[in-house]
Amino acid sequence: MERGKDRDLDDFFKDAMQNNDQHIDFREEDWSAMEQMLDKGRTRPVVIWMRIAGGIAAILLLTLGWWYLNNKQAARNDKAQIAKVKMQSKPQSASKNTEPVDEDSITTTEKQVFAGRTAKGVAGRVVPGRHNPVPVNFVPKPMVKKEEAVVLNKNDTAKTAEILAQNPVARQNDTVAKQPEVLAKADELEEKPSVEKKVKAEAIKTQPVYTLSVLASPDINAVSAFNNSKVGSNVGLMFSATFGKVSVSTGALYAVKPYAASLARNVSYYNKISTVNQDVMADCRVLDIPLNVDYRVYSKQRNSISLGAGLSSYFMLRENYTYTGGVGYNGTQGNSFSVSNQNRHILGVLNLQATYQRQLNPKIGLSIQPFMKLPLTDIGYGQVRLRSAGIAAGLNWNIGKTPK
Amino acid sequence: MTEEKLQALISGCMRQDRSSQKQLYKLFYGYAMSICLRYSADRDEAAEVMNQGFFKVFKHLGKYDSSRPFKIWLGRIMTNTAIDHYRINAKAGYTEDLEKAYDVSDNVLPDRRLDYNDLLRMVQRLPQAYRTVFNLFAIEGYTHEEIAMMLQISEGASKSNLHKARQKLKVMIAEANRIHDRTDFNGSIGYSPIIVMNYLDINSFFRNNLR
Repeated sequence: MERGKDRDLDDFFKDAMQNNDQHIDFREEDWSAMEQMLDKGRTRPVVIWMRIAGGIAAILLLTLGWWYLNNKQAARNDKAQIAKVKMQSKPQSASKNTEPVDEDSITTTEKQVFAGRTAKGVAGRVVPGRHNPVPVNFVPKPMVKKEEAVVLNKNDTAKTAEILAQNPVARQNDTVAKQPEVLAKADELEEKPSVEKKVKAEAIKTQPVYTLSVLASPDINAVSAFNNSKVGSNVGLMFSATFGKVSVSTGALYAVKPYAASLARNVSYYNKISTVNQDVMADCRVLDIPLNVDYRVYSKQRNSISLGAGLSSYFMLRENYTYTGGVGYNGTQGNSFSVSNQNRHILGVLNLQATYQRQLNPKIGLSIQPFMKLPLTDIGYGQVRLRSAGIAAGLNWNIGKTPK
Repeated sequence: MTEEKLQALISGCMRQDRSSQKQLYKLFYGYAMSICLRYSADRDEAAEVMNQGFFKVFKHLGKYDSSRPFKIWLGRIMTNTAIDHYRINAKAGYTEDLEKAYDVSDNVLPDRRLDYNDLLRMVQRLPQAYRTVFNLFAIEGYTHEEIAMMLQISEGASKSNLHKARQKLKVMIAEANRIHDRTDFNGSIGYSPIIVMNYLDINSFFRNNLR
């Protein structure tokens, strides 16, 4: 009976509440508020530019990495080439004493054969590396040397022309001119190992140094000011490429970010709630992907100091919110809730850091890094400007070649 | 509006065309507001919830399945937004002065002279927790089990809140009936929900303060 009357009451309200949208007049100010929300939802130009800058930095990092790997490969090829030349130059070094090579006479001869070309042009053409840096059509030396000896010793231009005309291989490869220079280089390397070492060291010095770092840090997190801050932690792996004084780094950090905030500032959509002065305790698990650029301002012996800035992307893995300022509805229920994988802030946080690094040996180093993370956008479900500051300790491992 | 025109409007909104957004907003304003009004305490709060709902609609239009009625999809978003609103309020500890249920005779019958605005005002005067459960159970047709899951409360709390909501509504109807009868007798003063509210507030004042 009672149940039936309750149903009647429900139905009475249901009938009245449904299909009554015609009676509701449109208010222009509601649309204005809607427009403001839509405008706020649009990405601001500053953020767009920062994203573009971040993208450029990422492309730069990839390009430099590719360039480094290519250089490394080229250096290997050159090394192999020099070793090959050295091996082949040994018997020729012996013959060099008996049959001295006159480079000028060769160029003169060639000038006569290929009329119209200047001596300078020919000389330019025969510089190794100008073209055919790796001699694909490398002619066995004894054969060329034999011809060369004939040409040089007899100093017969007519015969030289004839030989060169009959032997296009010699002309194509420029080996006649090239040989003495390669030989000279090989001899030089043989005679002056210290010079080679110096050149090698310089070459390494100009190459980027690649470093892997393991970082761990405590930090403090706060929404408006750091006077109401909570201690969080970060741990992660970073990869950096150093070009002289500048280094570019990226990686992944897992961060635990607890913070306290007033609900009035926490929720921007519901003004009704914002009037309630309730505190919220949030505990966020964040995947932080930074992209930073550092500049070395001081370097002496094993110690160095760098200053840097960059942008971080926050991927909010899990956000737990607990309201602490009052009792939830029904006494105990519903005082906390959580959100998972709903919020991402791509390049939405500005990083500022200073790094002190001490090299323990050429491969391993330690670093201490005070840092600040300042959001450029509202972070997480709570839509707060969550700031972090802390000091990271790092263990660095140089994975590339280091100057000795 | 034909289905083709609605789809064209939705396409415009997906391109973030502001004119299309406003047209869609105006087209479904009344429907969306009618849902939000009965979940809110007043029109301003309802407008905030509704705008938040429309924001979600514009943001997630790409997920809308065009084979299903758009109005139902939009209505579901509005209801969910209102529930989110309730959850945030409740979890913020935004508690109203929840009174014990009155002992009200079950013989209170709704008066047919009460119109939509009168009844809406009564629902809006319910504490938010009662109002939300009453809306979901009595008007939307959800079960207590579903409501418990949606609001993250126990089934017992859902039943209790519904019972208290009905009791309070009965009191309001009884008071409204009494005023109607009185004004009908006098034949001069029309029914006003504000008078009902004031009358109840005075009753409540005496009940709470003269004990």
